Amino acid sequence: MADEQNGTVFLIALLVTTLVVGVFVLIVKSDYRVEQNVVTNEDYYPNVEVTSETD
Amino acid sequence: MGHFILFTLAYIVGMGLAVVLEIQAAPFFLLLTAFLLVGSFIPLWQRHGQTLIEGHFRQILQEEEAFPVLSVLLLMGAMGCFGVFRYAGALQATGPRHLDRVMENGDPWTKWRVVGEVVAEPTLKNDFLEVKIQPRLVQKVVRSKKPPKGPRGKGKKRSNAGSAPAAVEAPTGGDAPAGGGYALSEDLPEPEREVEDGLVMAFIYQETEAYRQVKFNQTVELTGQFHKASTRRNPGSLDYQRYLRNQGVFRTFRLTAKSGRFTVLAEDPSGAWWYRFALHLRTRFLKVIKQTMPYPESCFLGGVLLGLRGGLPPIVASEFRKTGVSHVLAVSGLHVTIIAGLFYGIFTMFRVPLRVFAPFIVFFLFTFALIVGWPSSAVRAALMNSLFILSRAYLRDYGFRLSIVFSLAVAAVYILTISPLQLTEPSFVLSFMAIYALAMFTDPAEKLMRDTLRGDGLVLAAVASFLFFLAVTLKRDLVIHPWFFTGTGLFIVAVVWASRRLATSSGFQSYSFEMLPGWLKSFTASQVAIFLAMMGPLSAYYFGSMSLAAPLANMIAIPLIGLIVQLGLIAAIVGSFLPVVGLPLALVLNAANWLGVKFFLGMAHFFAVLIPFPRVSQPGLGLILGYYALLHLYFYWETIRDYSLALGAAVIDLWEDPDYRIPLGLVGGGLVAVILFLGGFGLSRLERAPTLRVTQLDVGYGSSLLVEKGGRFALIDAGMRDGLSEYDVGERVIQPALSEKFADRVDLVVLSSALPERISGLLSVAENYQIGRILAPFEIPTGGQLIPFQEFIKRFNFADVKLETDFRKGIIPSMPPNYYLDQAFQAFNGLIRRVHKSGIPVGRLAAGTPLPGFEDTIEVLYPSRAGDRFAVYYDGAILQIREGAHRFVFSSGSMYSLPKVLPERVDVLFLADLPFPLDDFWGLVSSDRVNRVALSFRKPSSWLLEGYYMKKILDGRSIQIDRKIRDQPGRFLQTQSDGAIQVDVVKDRLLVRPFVERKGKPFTP
Repeated sequence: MADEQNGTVFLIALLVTTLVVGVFVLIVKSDYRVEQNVVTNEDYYPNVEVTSETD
Repeated sequence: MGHFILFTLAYIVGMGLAVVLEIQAAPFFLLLTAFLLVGSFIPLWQRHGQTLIEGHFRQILQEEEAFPVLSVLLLMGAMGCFGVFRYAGALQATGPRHLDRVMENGDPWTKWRVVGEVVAEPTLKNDFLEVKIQPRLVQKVVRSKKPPKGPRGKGKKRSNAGSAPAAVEAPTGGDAPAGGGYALSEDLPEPEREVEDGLVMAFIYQETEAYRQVKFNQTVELTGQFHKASTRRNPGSLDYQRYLRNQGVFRTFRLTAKSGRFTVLAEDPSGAWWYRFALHLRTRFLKVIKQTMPYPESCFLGGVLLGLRGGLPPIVASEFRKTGVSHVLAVSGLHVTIIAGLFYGIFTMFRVPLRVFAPFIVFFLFTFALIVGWPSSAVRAALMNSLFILSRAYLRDYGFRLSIVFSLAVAAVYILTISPLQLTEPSFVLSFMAIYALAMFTDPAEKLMRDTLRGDGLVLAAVASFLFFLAVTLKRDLVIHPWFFTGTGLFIVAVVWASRRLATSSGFQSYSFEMLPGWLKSFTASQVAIFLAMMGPLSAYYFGSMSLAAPLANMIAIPLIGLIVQLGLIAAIVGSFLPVVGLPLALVLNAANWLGVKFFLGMAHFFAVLIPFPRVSQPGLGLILGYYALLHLYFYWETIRDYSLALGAAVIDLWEDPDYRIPLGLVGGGLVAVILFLGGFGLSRLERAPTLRVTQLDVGYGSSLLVEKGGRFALIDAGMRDGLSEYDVGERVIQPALSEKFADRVDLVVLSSALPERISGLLSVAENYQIGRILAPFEIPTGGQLIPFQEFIKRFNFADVKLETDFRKGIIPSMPPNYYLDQAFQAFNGLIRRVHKSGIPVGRLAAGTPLPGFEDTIEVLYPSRAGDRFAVYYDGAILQIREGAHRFVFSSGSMYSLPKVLPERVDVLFLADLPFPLDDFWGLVSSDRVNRVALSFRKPSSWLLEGYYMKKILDGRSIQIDRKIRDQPGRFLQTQSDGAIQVDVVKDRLLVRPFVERKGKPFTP
């Protein structure tokens, strides 16, 4: 039971930390945007087409 | 469980014997299996016959020794024979409707039309897609003399491969021949034939439209030449035909802008729903990755999460290999376990009982295995994790505890029964051995570390490890010393022994391995176990290399990859299925994950630069089995001893019982007979060691000749490293050959000319092998000072009319005027740099120069003296190699000097290039001075000679030579068609063997 609780705490802590770090990266790195990512990935599996919007 | 593990072991051993001994008599072994099965039932019946008649099976199972030992032994024999039957049977599974049989009545130039279905999602390689196609109809295309009219006739449109839009060829019932075919697009007098088995691997290149069109489940038509993949072309190289056959692929097809035609006939939405669901998930996840992570980090995430290995820059892939972390890209058990852990955690977080969510996890795991392409490693892991979770959910209350080795055995039996040919695939073996290493050696490794890394022992081990890595980092040439690996082995043994002694005797115990947290202790021990029992030996066995950085890099890589995969998966699910906020949330998650990926790539780069990546001699199967035997004896000595003693005592007891004496005698006798038979069979396959072996390697455009004599190796020319395609003959051909031959150094290198296709491959060889001496008929500066292009042209004459005319006028360009000369220039400067850096002794070569170590074997016939300016096409060295009465001559293509120095009779004339002038060559070979000619040549890539005057000359010469050679296949061998050409002198007998078996016109040695 204690192990399960530890695991839950770890998962939640991981997600929160990730969100904070992710936001920080997006603030600092102004070219880290969906549009730019799509452009840089144009030749990566070109048969899977993506747009800069949610499908 | 114990019996099942034993039966699995016997099954695998049986398959292994079928591989090693190349057993083909599958039906015989099936019969033997049946006999042994019946035999195994007799002792069982003797003991439990009455109970079986009464139907009390449970009562039998509850007995302590339910199965008589004899039954178990016979059943193991039956499983072994069944293993032989499955493997040998799978190798010969080619019925009359098998693709291999249908296409066997054509030559490599025959054109075929194939209609089939794309049976798997295409895989991205560097600049092409690999597409697996299951043919349904196959038809030989015979060209009509008059091109048919209409837009689909021969002409420009045909060469525009792949440009045909989708569904150009709609099924037209009227034209379709019997058998339900599609409209014919060529003059096709031969009937269509139905195919049921055997796949085609189509390589669809970037420049074609099909590259963007092809998808899983489409019905497609391919027209063009279909090739059987090449078998092993060089010693130590990959047998590509066998590799493809193990995946069920029997023909390959290339679709480029100039060759082949590809048409999508129909988009078929059918197929297994589960697979389509998995592909749908994969596509959605890939879209999210492309949207939320930039290139090249996206490739890394796509690789570790979805098994999409393509797209990663070659330099990154190479750094992963050097640091021993490539396994993270081959979606393996690690990934499946990480994902199982993630789902387990999420369900537990929401307090869902295990009995409820266990089937969901099993479903997700197998879906994940489908997403990543159903590789044996992922299937194995999905199966094992599922067994573990299901047994924990439903059998825990009955006291059932699943052993890892048992679940590993279940997975092995499942995978090998479905596809027996997987047994020889490195991915299968590495995956299974990784788990075996974890299961068997983690605890003993932890115990060893506890006993060793304590107090003074810990200090000694830490200092010794630090000094070792410091030494190989500062003095990188250390790793190419012939005694490096032996020395390292002895060093490790000595340090372990001394540390253990110090740990027990020292009073200083303040610091110890035991003080680490439990998870860190287990993790460290598991890394040691994996390196000792999987990565170290199997990397050497399969790849001839060993990453020294692997133990350190994996300590960081494995926890990091857990984080990256989990975050990537959460981001992919959120981005794919959560409306409105899904994608922004995935962007935030993957922005954080991007840091992790960057760190991973940086870590791989750091270790790749810091710690050298040496090549090792590829050990044979016997050596590897010996190593594993020693490993087991070391870590399990007491258990093995106790079992052996108990087994011995049981056999003696049985022997003393008159009832068992005869059956036991029969089993013992049978066992001895089988061992003797297998031993004799194996011995009969051993080759007698030659006194001299000369191998003309198949290096494509260029030349390389390997001479072996009395354990010494001489390399005459080293092929080419193409700077544009980054194909390096030194790395891809010569080093694997040296590794397979157990060479720990190259005693002598002779560079016959300064052409890039003869010298540039040496650069990577010299990085990984110690070189005794380099001799060349031109000067190689040793000071390390690179020369400018003008100086290069002053040293070498490339017979380029324009360049030479300008040279005589005193005009020399400061930059290479074309790619070929740039390659030549770079190769020479690379040689200067390498010679200086590694301190390789060099010398000038001329007639009469003694060749150290090969004085009695190799003699220089030409050039007679060293001139000031070296003419690369005319001044190439000519060497004579002799053994007893046999004479071989190695020469460049120039026939101006060869006839003057050629001995009276030559067994094999090795040519490094196309001969010229051709008339002189035909004159020479029509005399009886030359018995056979082995020619190293293949047309170079079109870009290599772009703008260089030799381009057209080579085309003309190669056509003329081909025509002439075709008439005398017994006298001429070519690396282009025959692969490497090996010439052995065995007790004064000459044996000539081309590596690629000739079909139709067998070569008589």
